Amino acid sequence: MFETTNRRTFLNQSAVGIGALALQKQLLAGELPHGYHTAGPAKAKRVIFLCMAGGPSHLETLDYKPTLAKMDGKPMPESITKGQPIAQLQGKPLTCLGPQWEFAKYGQSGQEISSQLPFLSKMADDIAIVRSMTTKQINHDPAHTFMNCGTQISGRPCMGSWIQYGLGSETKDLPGFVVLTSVGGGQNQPLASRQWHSGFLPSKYQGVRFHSKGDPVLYVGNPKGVARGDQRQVIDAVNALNEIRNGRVDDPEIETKISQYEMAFRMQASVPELVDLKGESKETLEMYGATPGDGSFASNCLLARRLAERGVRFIQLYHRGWDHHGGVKNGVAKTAKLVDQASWALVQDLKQRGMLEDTLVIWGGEFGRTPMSQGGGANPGRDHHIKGFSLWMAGGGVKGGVTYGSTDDFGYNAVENEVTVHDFHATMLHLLGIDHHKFTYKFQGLDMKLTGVEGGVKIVKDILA
Amino acid sequence: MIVRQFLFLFLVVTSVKAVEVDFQREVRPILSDKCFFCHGFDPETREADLRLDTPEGAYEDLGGYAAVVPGKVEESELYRRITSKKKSEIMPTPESHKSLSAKEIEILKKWIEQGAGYEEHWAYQPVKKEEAPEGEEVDHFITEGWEKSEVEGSEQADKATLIRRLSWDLRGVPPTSEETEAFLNDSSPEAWSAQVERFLADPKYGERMAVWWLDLVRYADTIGYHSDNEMKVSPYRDYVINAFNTNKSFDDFTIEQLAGDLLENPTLEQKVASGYNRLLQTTEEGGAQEKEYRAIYAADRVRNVSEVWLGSTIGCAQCHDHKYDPFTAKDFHAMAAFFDDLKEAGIGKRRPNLIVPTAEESARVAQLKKELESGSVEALVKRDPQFRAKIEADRERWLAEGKLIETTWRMGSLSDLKAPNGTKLKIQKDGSVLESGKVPDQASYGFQLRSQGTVAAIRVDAMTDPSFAEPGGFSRSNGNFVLTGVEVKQNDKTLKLVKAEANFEQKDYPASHAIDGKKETGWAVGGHTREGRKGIRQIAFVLKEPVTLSGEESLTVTLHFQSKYKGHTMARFAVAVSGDSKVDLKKPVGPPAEIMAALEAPERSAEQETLLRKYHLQISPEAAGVRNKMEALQAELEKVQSGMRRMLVSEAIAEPRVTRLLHRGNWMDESGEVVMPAVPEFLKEDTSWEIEGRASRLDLAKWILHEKNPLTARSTMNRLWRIFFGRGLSGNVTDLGGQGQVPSHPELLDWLSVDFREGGWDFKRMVRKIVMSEAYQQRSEVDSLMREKDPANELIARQGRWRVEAEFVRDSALQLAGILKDDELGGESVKPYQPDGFWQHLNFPKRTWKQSEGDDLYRRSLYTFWCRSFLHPSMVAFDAPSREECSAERARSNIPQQALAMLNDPIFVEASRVFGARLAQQDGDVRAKIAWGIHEAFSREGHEEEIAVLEQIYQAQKEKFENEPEEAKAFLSTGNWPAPEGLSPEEAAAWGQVGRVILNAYETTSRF
Repeated sequence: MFETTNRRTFLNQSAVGIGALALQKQLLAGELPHGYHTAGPAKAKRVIFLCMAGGPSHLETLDYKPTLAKMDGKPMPESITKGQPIAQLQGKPLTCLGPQWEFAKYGQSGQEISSQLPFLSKMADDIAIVRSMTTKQINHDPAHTFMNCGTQISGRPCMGSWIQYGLGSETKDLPGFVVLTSVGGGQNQPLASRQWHSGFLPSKYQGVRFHSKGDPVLYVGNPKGVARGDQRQVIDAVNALNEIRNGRVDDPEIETKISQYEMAFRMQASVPELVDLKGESKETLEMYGATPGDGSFASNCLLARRLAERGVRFIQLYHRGWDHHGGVKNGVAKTAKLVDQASWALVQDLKQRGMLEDTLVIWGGEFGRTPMSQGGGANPGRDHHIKGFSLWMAGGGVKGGVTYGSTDDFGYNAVENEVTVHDFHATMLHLLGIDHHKFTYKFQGLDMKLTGVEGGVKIVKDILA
Repeated sequence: MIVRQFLFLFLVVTSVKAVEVDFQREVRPILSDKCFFCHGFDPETREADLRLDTPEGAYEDLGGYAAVVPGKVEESELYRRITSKKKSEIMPTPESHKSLSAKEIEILKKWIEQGAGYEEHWAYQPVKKEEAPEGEEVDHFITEGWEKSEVEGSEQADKATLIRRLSWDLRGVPPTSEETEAFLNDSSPEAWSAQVERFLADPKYGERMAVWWLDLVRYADTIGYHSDNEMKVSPYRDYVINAFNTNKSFDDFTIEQLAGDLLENPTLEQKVASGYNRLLQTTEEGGAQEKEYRAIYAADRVRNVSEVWLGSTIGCAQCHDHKYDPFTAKDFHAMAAFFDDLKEAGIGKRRPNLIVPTAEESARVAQLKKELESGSVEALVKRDPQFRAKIEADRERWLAEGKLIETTWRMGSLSDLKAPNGTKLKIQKDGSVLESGKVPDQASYGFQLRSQGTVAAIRVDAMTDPSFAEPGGFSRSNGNFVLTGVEVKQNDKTLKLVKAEANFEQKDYPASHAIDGKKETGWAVGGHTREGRKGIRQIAFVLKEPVTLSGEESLTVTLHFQSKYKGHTMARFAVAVSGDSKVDLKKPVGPPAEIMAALEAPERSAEQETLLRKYHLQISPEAAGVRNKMEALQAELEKVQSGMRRMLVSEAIAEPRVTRLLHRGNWMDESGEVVMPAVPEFLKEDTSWEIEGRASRLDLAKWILHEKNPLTARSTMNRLWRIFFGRGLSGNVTDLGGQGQVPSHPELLDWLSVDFREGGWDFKRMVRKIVMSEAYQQRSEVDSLMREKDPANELIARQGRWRVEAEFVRDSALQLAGILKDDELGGESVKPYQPDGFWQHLNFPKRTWKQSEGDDLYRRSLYTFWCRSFLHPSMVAFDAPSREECSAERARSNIPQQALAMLNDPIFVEASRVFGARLAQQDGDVRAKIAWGIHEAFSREGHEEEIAVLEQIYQAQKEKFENEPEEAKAFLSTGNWPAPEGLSPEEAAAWGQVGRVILNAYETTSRF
């Protein structure tokens, strides 16, 4: 039944000119796209991805390395670093830098978490920590692209677009894929719109960026001097002209156009309603640490919950502030303080509303940071690192209180249960009820997949509830 | 509607039974999609050592049996496996997640029964030109298709539709009412061809075609990666516009873009064209690895050149042999090697390397130089006896008083200039030193300094020069320099410097840092910023103990520029000295020591006389007027020169970089064999590829155009066809290869391809062939029967219909408003309205969108600044591509963001209200004005019901604005264009709302 509904939604939404006609032909010819759903039911209906942009240091957040502490100030063994890609530390002496913050065990599960994430430690039993992530790209821009699209080649769809394409939208009044951003605590690396681009998928699947200043969604506000009633009149007249035209030429594009003007009109009301936090209680605001309209990560977390409530499928929050090439100790403390409470609050809030079970929350960056010191001196930092880093997930079919995989004693290489970006994507899709093997889209004659064509991609079963 | 008759359905589904299966159309696509991944071209992924892409492979004896036994289905292992019920046997394997439908199995069965014949993939076969009646070639092939499928074409569209369609297709804007009327009134048989010629001759044709080409070559104004800073390439865009307008032949067009710089004595235009090779995405990101990015750039170029010219995805062979086409990984790297001669930084700023003057600028420069020469003091002295006499008299006076001249600073004479290899330092007329040749990463510049008399302080003036990439800058890199150290020696003895003073200091880079003995610190002047580029930057150093030099003695001075920032050297400087330890930089610089010496000499030599004569001309009050005039001319010359556009173009280095075959595309693996530039192996024989020595980009371009190259013309004509029908003759305009689509009309595509080449690679000729056809002039409406039978319009039994491209949506709105600034072609990219903060996520540096002014707000949208990471949101909404990669086929989506943009983006609100004002100014009553507006926007008469809709909203809005006059004023304040005169605000606003409705109607931006 799911299958049929999905096909129908697909058809209805697919008014993309010749593409739609081609699809229609496909359907008529009996060549339905292969079903790509998993055998079992989907655990998660939606995803909230808290993207810690800049690359948080796993060594000061989620991956405790006592041996590295002992090695502090000593040279990094060459056997580990030889022939490895290195970013800004190219050609420089490589010295170990011990963990800058203490860790402790929390919850019944005894998960090890940094002292700089006190709120996270309160929900240690709710989260699964993955300590063996790896990626292939060592600089911010390509690494984000890789994390989002599974390849660093531009022009490919990101995971949010893929998921929209696969599952469709659950909201009639809002875009199904929303991106929110905030800054603070460290260097703000640039962030390109390709990170939420639909690539070769139809553009309706692209992420819509919300802004904290001006129109929350571009052009969602009426022109000066035009009230909502006037806008309604204009749209009614536009649609009337389109109806008249369609009566003469019978063009499905015109029908779609009419429905899109209606959707636009609904968005003009639903978006301002969404971002208006007046209805939120004082307790809620305090729990998140949010001040309405401040554009902070905390406010965005609260907005994320509101978006999730309204059926938005994929919500991505970027916090740009983790690029601690220098002063990693205070840097991590500062940025963590800006995100820790709100991340916790989001999970709690979803939980108390009964939404956590079908909402997958993910917290992590595009890569981790080197066990080697950068800059030296009193305030050393850490460089980009791709061979081992950490993230956590909660809700949406993920087991709580689990630590999965590990890095070596230096926190350099993921040595046990490596999770590649493709594995991570496959797992996320699995939770959403999508079989990543079968989830393809024809482009340039090839069956493109979020998880790439190389094979060997695995679902991280051990963290599934 | 004409009646269509179907004797049998066109679709292959039902045609299998009766006729022979078509290998190209039916069999090969199945084999390619379902089998080649494991049994195809790529030996690395080939399973069971079986390949099905060649007959030899398919028929091969596999030990008593074969995959395919021609004519014998039951003996063919392939058939047994695809029909097997066993999980362990079935093909394709369950792990591949591919399966064959009953219909596909049936086709493969028939194919084997009928002899399992193979044919080379259609796109790699030689292009053949079939006979066709002259002048009716296009229709000949299309009606042939109709006859075969027993359908009839649609009738001719009405004239108003035709001119509108033609105008969109050739100009990217709809016709004006006047143009439509004139065409409707022209009843001569040549009316259509005359109309075609008019539009082909309209400069808007070049702008329209450029949009198509710029998508292919991924033209943009920013570098793409990370910081996504600006790169200067807009003259390339203008080259493309101009090429289409002047109907440059496609072979020249190709050669100039790929290798314009390698032509003999390339013209400015050819150099500009070679900017093509610089359009790729690049990075400046700190910590990026040069080698990795070299590999990324190489792949980017291979992808683009193969997609643009060959319609092939050779890029897929970066890591492994292509799975669906005969391109190998070696082909990929050999193609990449063609571009190894391009001078280009791996990581870092893209600095312009060509100055592109306009014709006016060139003329002005020539004129100014002429005036500077003929009007100079020297020339006047020669030419004008009266002037000469005055000067002579003044010289006598000066010689008499000369000895009394008292100045603080005297110009130093420099010699023995020393610079790192590849960089040159040369003394200029004015005594300053100019850097040229290679921009050094770091450098120490040494020279001998002569100046007779006491030297207590040494002063260095950093100057700009019009030859610098950054106008007004002080270095040839980003305009800034860091002076990290200064050494002064007398006969190998270092003289101590005690103080440094400058007329400007960049924050954290004070003058004192130039003499603190530390290599890491230095004096800098903010020359990388616009604010920092003012005047001359001066620094003076005080010697601990003054020295006195005789006429022959000199000091050895070395200026160190050893900052970590590359290319931060003073690229033009002058040196002066003072006998006074008290430094005053504001005091002028007086005559050099040798002049003083000559003046003071009891007996002057002939050289000294000449020296004095020359010098006097520079200071004589009698010549002041002339000098002032010359200085003004010189200043203008420098201004014109620094205002000239600059851009990135191809420049070949003598020793090309080395390309290695990278195993699985891994740039860290340096064990692969060295690869020389070459074209794909399987095409070499047909195209007689034989090059002595190292093949160049020019060889590549010529090979692309080789008459036996099966891909170039096919791909180009397939894409040209799409402009005029909305779909390529082969449905996949990106890729003609194995995973592409067999053309609906292969003979027509071939005919066009051969004719394109034989007719001199003439675009306009081919456009005429297409638009003069009856097929082009059909109606676009489709009845339900045809929609079902031929949904994609593969039979071309009707025209296509679609929403126009992003640029043309905005252009047409501006045209309707009458504010489209369309009387000039080309120029720097412009920045029309864009929401505040849209660029907030760009960094290094942070920047904002500096909105253009005046007419630049209303230029055609192809001139809008194309920022790859944040393209203008309204352009994105209407599917303009980011141009990070080749884009041969824009999506045609229909999304709510389009409605939001058209309704609320200030440019559309502004265009609506100005268009509304045009309506208001028409003669007649409200209905007549509305009728005019409909005609203008839709190129046809309005229907009664349409007029009624618009009249109703006019009345309702008029009432509203009369009740709320402040709202009317607010509405009219959107956009910079002034509110109309002679209309009350209420009236103008109400008409503005009518304008909005018309602009937003789908028909306004649709081509049908």
